[in-house]
Amino acid sequence: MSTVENRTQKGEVIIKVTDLKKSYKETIHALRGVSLEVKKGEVVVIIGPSGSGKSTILRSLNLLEIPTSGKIYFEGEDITSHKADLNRIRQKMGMVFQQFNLFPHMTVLKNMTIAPRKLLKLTKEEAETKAIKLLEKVGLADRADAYPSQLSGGQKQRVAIVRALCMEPDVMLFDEPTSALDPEMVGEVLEVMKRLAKDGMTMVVVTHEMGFAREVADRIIFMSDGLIVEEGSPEEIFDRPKNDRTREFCRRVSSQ
Amino acid sequence: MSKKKVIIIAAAAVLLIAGVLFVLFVSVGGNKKSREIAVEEAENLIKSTFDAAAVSKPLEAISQKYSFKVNSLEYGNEKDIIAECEISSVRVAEVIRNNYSSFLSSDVKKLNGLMYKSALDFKIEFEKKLTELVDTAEGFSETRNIRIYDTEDRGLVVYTDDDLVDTVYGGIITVIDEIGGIESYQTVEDGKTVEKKIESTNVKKGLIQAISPRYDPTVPDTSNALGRWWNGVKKDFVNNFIMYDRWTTIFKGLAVTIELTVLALLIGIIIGFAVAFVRCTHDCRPKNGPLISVLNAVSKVYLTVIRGTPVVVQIMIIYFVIFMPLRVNKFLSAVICFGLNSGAYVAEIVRGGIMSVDAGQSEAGRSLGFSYAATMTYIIFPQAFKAVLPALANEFVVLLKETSIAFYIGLGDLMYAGNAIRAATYSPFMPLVAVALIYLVMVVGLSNLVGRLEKKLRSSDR
Repeated sequence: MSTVENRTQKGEVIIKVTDLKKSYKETIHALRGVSLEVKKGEVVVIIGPSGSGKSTILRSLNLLEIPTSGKIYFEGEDITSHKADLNRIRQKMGMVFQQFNLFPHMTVLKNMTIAPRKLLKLTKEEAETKAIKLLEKVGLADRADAYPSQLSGGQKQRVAIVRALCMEPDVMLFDEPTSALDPEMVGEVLEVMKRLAKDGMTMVVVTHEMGFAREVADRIIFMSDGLIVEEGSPEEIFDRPKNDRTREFCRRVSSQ
Repeated sequence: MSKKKVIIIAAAAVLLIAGVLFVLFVSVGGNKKSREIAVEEAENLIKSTFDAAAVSKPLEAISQKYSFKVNSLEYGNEKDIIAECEISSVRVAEVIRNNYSSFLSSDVKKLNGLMYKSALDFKIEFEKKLTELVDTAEGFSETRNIRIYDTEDRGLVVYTDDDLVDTVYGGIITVIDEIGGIESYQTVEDGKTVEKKIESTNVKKGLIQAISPRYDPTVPDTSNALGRWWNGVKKDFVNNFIMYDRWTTIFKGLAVTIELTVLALLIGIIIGFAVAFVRCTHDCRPKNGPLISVLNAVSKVYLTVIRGTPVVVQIMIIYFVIFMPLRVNKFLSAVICFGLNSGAYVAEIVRGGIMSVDAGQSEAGRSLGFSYAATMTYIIFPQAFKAVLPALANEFVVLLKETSIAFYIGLGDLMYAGNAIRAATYSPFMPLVAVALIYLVMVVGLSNLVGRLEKKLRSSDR
């Protein structure tokens, strides 16, 4: 935890996780006691080999995975408590999936406006104005009436990102957002994410894009076997890794 | 949520439903007596009812040939009266014999000069046969319980028993068939025994006409086989569809079948989606309240019972055990029965549809902040519905055929209409084949539409 306190980034703690454990069928331990903090405005990138639990921890943050034990606090509220209003909390945490998960039976515009209209009670006009503005920012305003099946992978993921943004979340969670994309489309999605980070959005990103991690992350968390092995600034993790496993992982990904 | 709580809530729900049904039964169905009637009134009522039923049969005024004697009347609790009635065919012989002489004198003369000489031989043989058969017909005597209802709109109504009408007529029909069936006789000519043939159709016609004046023997009997056959077909067609506007029965029945199918499918879809929602919620969502556990238990019992018993049994129970005492009409009973039945199958179709929607869709919905129910409503159901639309349309086709089972409770659907004509005309071929053809055309047409729909949906998915 020492690295967290050394951070220069200012701001209050927005997500706090203490000793989170997750096991399936009591034999498979995906998370074996993870504690971390995310501050407002911070971009945290979680890296690690597959099966290390990085997706599980991200999905636990908005309780798409129910942890076996441990606590998660979001804006000071214990969201693992059964009294927590999950639906309200999830509105404040946007999530972007590897497989985009756009709603195939709705147009791009409908995809983006349904949640604000039904949950934030915006009028159709308000929601659509907001959606169009966001689509313009990601260069997809002309595809507002298209259906997801008519979009390329990169376009789909950009829509997925602005769909989450329509709810004006306090935190954005990205679960390997570029892993399902063809290589030539990775750039356009990362570009959107970089812009989002620059605008001060708090972001937790699970990714294999080491270039992106190095450029955008305020802090990198390296996970392996359901534990946080090392965390620190990009320079600390990539250039001067302390742990053998981190070193091995960085060497392997940089040689690719 | 403890198991004990679930059991208590389930038991309370069952008791509540039982209580409501009991109150309904007592208040709506129970203890209504008919007005009292005299034995003579009951007898006349039964006679006129059987006469009315006889209009479509080859014989007229059955009460002229049969006697109806009401022995006792018993008053039921549903504004009904049970009349113990003795029916006997004492007057069949009288009627046939009255017409017998005229038949012989007229018909045998017609059989060219050949017949004259041996008319006596023929007469003796014929008399023997007739006596034998009339004795059989006269032997008919049965005591039946005939139900009379005191209805609000139509007054006293006798519950006509098709089976009984058929039995009663059966006696006379046998006589006609057997006597009409005599085709040859023996006679002595120049000291030799000769086998002689007669025009059996003429004998039959003459006899039928003697007994039933409405029969029209002037229809030309074409001599060639094809012509005779075509003539028969024409006569059959007229008899089954044109006479008494019988075709309207078929179309009324068709309308009932279509209405029944559409309404039942609507109920089936509503129940199906509700049950599928409960089952999926119970299976897929980690934390659920007691309500879902109870509903899931109820759904499971519902699915097991409906899918584990034949639909014929279900409709008999639903109508005769549950709804008839409550005086719910047949159509509504059938709609509810087939709705419940179809619901069980739709539920499994929809459950498959919901399962086929990618788990990521539900995660995306939940991560935006939608509740479980809202995610289902806005995101999962529309996709599941599209996925199962062809299967639902197929269910409609299956249901269309299956509703013919409503025949068992006497609902006037297409099947019933066909059978009613068959029972009235004694010619099963045309009405039943017509009904089969109508079902076939509808099913083939709809299946074709389902196929196109499927293709269209698939192409829009890409």
